[in-house]
Amino acid sequence: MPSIVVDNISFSYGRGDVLSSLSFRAEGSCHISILGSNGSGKSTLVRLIDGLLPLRRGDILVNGISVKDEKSIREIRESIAIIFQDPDSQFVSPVLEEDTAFGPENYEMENIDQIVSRSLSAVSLSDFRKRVPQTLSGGEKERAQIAGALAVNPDIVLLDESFSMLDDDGRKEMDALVGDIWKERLIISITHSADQAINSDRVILLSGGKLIADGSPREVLCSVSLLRKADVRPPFAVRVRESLKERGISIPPVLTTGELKEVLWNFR
Amino acid sequence: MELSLSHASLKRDTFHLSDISISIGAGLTAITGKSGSGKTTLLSLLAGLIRPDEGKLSLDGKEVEGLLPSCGIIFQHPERQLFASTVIEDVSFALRRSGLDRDEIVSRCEKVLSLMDIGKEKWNESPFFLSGGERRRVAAAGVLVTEPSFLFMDEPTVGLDSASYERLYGILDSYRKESRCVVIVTHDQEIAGFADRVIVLDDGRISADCLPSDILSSDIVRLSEALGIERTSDYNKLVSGIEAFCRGRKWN
Repeated sequence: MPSIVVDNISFSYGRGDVLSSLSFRAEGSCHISILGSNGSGKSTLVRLIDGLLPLRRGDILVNGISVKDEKSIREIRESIAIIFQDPDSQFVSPVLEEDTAFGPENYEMENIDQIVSRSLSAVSLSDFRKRVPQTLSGGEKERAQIAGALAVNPDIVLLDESFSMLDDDGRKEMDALVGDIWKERLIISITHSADQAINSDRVILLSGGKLIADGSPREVLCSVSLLRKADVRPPFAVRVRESLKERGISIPPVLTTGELKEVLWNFR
Repeated sequence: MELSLSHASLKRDTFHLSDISISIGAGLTAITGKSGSGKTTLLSLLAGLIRPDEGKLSLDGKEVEGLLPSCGIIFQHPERQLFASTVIEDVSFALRRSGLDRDEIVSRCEKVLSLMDIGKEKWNESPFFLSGGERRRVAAAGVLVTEPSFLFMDEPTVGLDSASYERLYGILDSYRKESRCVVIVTHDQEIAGFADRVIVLDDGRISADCLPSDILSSDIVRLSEALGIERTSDYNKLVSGIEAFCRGRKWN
């Protein structure tokens, strides 16, 4: 069962702590959103989990292995795939099939050609394997990144503001694809958008490098005061409810636009 | 002040624009469309960053041959526009080259950095050591400080937190009130709904040029339609519409 245990970590780039006494545990097949504003420490956390930054205070265990254990860092990295915000900055090869093969080759996996074919097929890019990655459209580039991650068969997938450059439909398509191909894995999405966190199983809210809420999307995202504290824009339906409240109209708590519509239709 | 692109076409290996003719005046224009539809290319043509293979760009009837005068561009990854060794050097760069006197430069930098919530304690720091959000704000400050007549922004809402989103609304509104010309490329339906006009691109061609509420399918528009209130793409108008909808009724 994939697991990440973040145990009382703090981190600084030299001027104040970016993360401060942060602890949480994530395990099993689930989708967790880590939500926070710019500068809340979200991306730093991703880099610490993957051992890309040196952790000195506290500890992080990935599948039971400490990121501080330099001898085991390769094992940790083999179990994690990260998809960053900008796909262009993540391509490493001039041809898509070589790019997809990059991870398996570095992890000395066998049957690489089969792995590449399977991965590209899973994201409907089989016909694009000889293409230059940079010439793909925005959505195709994101699917190419997913193929590269899929090829290393990770236990844990970290999505760092992934797909935020796509339009709503494109983002929903990628979310569905990710949920489908990694439904047995631990997915952690890093995002500043409360609307994008609605469909996760759990939301962890960060503010100034500290955890200020950890619960279901409904528990965390319907709390305007918590979101304000974290400088996160509430989901659309929650914002409308709050605006109506300011105008003296009270409606029951809602999380999604569908719920809001249903509640408003009950005004007769 | 009218910026016109007439019969502009451009073809490269991976993208193309075909026979684009538009005129853009003061106010906020949003260019939207699917990924790969040519939005960023159109913005680059309007700013004079690239020239069309056919057709021409003109300002008030006079052909523009290079970069559009008094033009500011905030690219999709504004943090990549940073280059100086300190925040203040970066933000003041264009003003120092323009020959403005020191007091005016300091005054404008103070104003724009305050607007962008970059405190004075960070002015002499390297912009490359700031957080991602701060870097984007400093880069935007370096453009806004020039107070351009034409402001072009490519996907300005990507990666913005709550405060930055509200700040962007404020900037767009003030530029609109000052009758400047702002063109944004965006896939964010809410910010497009705030525009005076929306141009939709589809595979390198203009497929619609209309009011935001005529074309967008944001949550705002969909909810106003579902409730049978006035169709709108503007959040504040939606809330007013819902308020009127609820008044005089009881919640069951």
